[in-house]
Amino acid sequence: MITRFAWLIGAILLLVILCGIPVSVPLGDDFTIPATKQPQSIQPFTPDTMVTQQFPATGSVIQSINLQFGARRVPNGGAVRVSLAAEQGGNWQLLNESRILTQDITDGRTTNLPFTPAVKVIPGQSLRLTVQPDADAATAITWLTNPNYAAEHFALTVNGVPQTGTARFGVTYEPLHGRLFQLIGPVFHRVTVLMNGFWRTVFITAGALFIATLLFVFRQQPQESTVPLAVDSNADEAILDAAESSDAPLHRSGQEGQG
Amino acid sequence: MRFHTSHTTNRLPASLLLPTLLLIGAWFVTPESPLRVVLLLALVVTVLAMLQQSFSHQRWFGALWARVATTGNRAADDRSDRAAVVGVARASWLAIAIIACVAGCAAFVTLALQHPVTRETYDTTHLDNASNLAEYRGFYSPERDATYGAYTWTQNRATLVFDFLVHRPITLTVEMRSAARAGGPDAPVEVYANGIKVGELRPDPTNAGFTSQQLRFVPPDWGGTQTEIKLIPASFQPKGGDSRRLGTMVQHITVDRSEAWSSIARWRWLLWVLPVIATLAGMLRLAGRRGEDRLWVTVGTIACSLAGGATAIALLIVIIRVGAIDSTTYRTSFIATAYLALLCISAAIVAVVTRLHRQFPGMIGAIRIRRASTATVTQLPVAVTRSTHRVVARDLTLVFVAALTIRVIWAVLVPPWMSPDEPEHYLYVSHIAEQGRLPLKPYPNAPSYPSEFVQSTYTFLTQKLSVGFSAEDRTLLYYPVARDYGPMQTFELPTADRLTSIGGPRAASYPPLYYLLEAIPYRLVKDTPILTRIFAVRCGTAVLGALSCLFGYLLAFEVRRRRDWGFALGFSMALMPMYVFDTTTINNDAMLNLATAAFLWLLVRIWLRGLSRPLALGLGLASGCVLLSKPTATLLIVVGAGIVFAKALTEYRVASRGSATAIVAEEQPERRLTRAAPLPTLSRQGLIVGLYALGAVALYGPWLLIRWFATGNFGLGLGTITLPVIRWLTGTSRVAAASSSASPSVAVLTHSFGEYLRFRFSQSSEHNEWLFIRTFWGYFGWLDVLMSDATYALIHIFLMIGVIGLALLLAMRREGRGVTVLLIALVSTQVVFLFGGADYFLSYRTTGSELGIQGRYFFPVLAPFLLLCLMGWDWLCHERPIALRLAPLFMLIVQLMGLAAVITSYYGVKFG
Repeated sequence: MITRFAWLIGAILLLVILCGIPVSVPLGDDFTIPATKQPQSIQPFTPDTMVTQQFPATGSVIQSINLQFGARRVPNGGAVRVSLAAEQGGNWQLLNESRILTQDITDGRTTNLPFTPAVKVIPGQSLRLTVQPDADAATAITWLTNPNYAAEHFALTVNGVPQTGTARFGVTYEPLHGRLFQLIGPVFHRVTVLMNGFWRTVFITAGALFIATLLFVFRQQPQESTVPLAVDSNADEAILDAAESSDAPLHRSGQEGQG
Repeated sequence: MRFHTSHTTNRLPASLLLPTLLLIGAWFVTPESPLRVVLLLALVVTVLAMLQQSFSHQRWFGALWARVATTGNRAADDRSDRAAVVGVARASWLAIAIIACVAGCAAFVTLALQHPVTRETYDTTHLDNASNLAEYRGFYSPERDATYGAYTWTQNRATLVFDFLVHRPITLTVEMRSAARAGGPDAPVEVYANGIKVGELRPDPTNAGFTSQQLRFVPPDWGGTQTEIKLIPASFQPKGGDSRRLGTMVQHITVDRSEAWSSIARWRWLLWVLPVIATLAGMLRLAGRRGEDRLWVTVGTIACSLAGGATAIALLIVIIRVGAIDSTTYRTSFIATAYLALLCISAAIVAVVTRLHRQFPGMIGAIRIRRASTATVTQLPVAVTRSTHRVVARDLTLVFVAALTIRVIWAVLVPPWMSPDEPEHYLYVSHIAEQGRLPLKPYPNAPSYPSEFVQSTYTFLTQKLSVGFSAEDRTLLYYPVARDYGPMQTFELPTADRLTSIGGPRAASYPPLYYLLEAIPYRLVKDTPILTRIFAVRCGTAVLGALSCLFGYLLAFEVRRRRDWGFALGFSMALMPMYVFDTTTINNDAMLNLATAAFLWLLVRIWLRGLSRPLALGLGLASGCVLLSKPTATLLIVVGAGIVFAKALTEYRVASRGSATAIVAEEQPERRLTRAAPLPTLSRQGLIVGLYALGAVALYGPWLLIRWFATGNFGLGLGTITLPVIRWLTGTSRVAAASSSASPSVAVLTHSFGEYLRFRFSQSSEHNEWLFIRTFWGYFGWLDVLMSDATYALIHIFLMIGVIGLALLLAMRREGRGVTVLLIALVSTQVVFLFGGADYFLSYRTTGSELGIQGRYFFPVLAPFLLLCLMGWDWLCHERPIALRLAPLFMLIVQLMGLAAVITSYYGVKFG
């Protein structure tokens, strides 16, 4: 009995494992300002240079931000101050301030700045990222920009003077974490954002039918595949009869395939 | 019985060959780690066992053993055959044991003779050829001091990467001089090991010479087998116009790992315990053979073996704890010690099993009988039953439902326009459905790209979500969370804004079969939002894709006459991710793949069964469908036609010879022949060939005529095809071709096929992997959505083993070789056509650059290709059904990985 249903049990186990895999569903729109073939950088990047990059919040909890710096030489020491502020009633309220040691910066690589605890923001709120080097860092690094990238509510300024393009940075919002069976609702909602009610029904039906077919096949397969079968069309039978009633070989290559 | 399947001809030690190949595959894809060493050891074991199996199959070995066994034992002549077979098997085990022991001795000798250099001094002026130094940077060119000899200035940091990583203290000695002697700061030099500061070196600023500064530390473990040491001095700018930024002056650097090695040396006596234990075990065995079979002998042998294993494991632990003294020594000693441990433990297991076998002979015998009975079941003669049609029809229904449902899931999950050229193909369909005509001259007065389509690309954020759709960069990681998707779901414009002049300029030249069929679902939902129309056309495409899987089932069933083969191939095609993607999104590939699958099934059927009128007509119709779908499988049709003609001719000639034989047979009644089927006559064969041609022409002919009336040419591309023929016939050289007297069209011949071949074979392995693996198995969207690397690694292993199995099958089995070669020829035909015909002829010949072939262009021969892979796997699995059952499971896993990649890429949901 166990052997007979082994494949079915295996398939169900596979389904159970699939349902248990970890899943994360985004709750905000992560983004990274793309690279460009002609990157530029903030020049000069000295201690009295204050670079700000505004952007709108598209989620409610920011997990980390990443910045792309250029290192002209290997930095010896110093740090870069990075602060994140949110606009509230016309004022900028500081949400987080961090320091990135220049020795952790690699030329052209993304430097990640995780927030512990995560920073809470309001979707749609205007946020401002401020970057300022100290004296030691200033001789070595700079912040890369994409001069061609422009988006709504994004603004780059150096000491209050608007600049063309956008600084190279990215934002990661905290997603919803869990197992697939726990988050099946949010996952379904997320992957069907483009579908209306009819197509969602089609999607669910197709999924259910697909799983049912596989289960059916897995249940059927072992008992039937062990006994080979052959075509019994009339033509074949006539050929077989002819072959069996004859002692002459059939001049056909049909026998080749039967190994 | 005709359709008998037997695996008695498979003489391979296949049960071990497959694990061996799997281990090789796993070893290749596993990164450098202890797991890799374990895999290597497992590989050694399987190879040894495979050798044992091979020995027992070799006649020379049996003869040799028989001679050895009969020497001094005259009674051996009386042994039965069975006893002789058992003797050969035992001898093969003995041979393998000897090989294993010799390898063990080699491992022991290697370990015993190993004495790595533990103290090395590096002259900073000659670092290029230094041993154990993988990399160095941050040193200026050597300089010479009249009193103290050559030395080197460091930059603001100097890095040395050594080929060792020990977990015990090492001593670093740097012969250096303070920078203060040259006007620099009197500051300590920081020393970082593997990214962590381990100390400082401070040379005496008052000493004019170079002094030795020592530092003892344990290199932090950061993985791998290398140690990076950084010297970070306080840098300064020298005076006198020297623009360099200087650090400190260094003459020699010495690394002493003696203390680390001493930990191993202290435990080295363990190594010498091994031969003592081995000698003891050997003596016990000898005692057991000479005297009676006593339990204490067996227990003693097992205990000795286990003690040897424990000793080797203890040594292994010491080696691991000390770490890599140098990469070669570490690797060698690790493998050798692990092998010795494995050998001792295996000896213990063998002793236990042998004892059990003697004690309870029935137990192992029962296992053997069970295995034998399983083999008998799979060799049952084939039964021809009346219910086969019904059962096969049910199978086909299952394959169809699975293939269709998974395609429908893809159809609604993949965002609109997110497939190569999907807009072009959609506009062709839309042109037919909205305007009721094919996109032929005279073109109506309408834009090439209608406003509904153009606006929809902005509504659906197509530019921001794809790399290949437009020149813009992909700026969104996935569909935004904070967005109202109602407008996307309901977006539509009036019919006037859907009209096109030529219905997708890049698709307009394609034959219309696919587009005519897909106009049906489009018409059914004509007055709905564009998203619904796209999804409906995709579902229509999915039906075509699902149907093609049925022909996969039929092809496998035709070749192997077993339902599980049909299931395996049908489900593999149903689930293969890139094939699902290609036959779901709007693209005429779906119709081409369906028509080609049907064509190949019929062709193989004709090859196996001979020509008949229905088959010839069906093949003709399938050929017509292929030609009416897309011209990328034209050569297959040509080859198919050739096979039909050759088959007709062969059958006629054989029949003629048969008649002659029948006349002879009348004179010799004992050789009389009788045939039930009608003899192929010239007229009958002509009729069959005529029916084939009629089928093709009936479908493709009208389209040619329509094209001729609309454009003035047949659109067969004959003009370009004839050019090289003219050049070859007339002997026009490239120079002559470029001269003014040559016709302008001939003058475009600039690159030879030889040049193309050189170009093609000079492509990097990454490019070939991209073309044959990634774009063939899963590269979605506008070729910008990849599956995980682990998935491609799995695919590599699957293909590698399939190809090896197929090669062995071809080499070792004669039955069914004809049809296997036919399948290979069909796959090769498509490859030759795509590279020679399309890539070279249409592009490289005139432009010197490739056309841009993708893996999906090979899908017309997907069914034979997968069938060949399955054959290889099946052969390696000794033709047991496991390979056929695992193939769909493998494809299901790859399918889920593909689905996950698409969901992650477009919706941001991450798995795992």
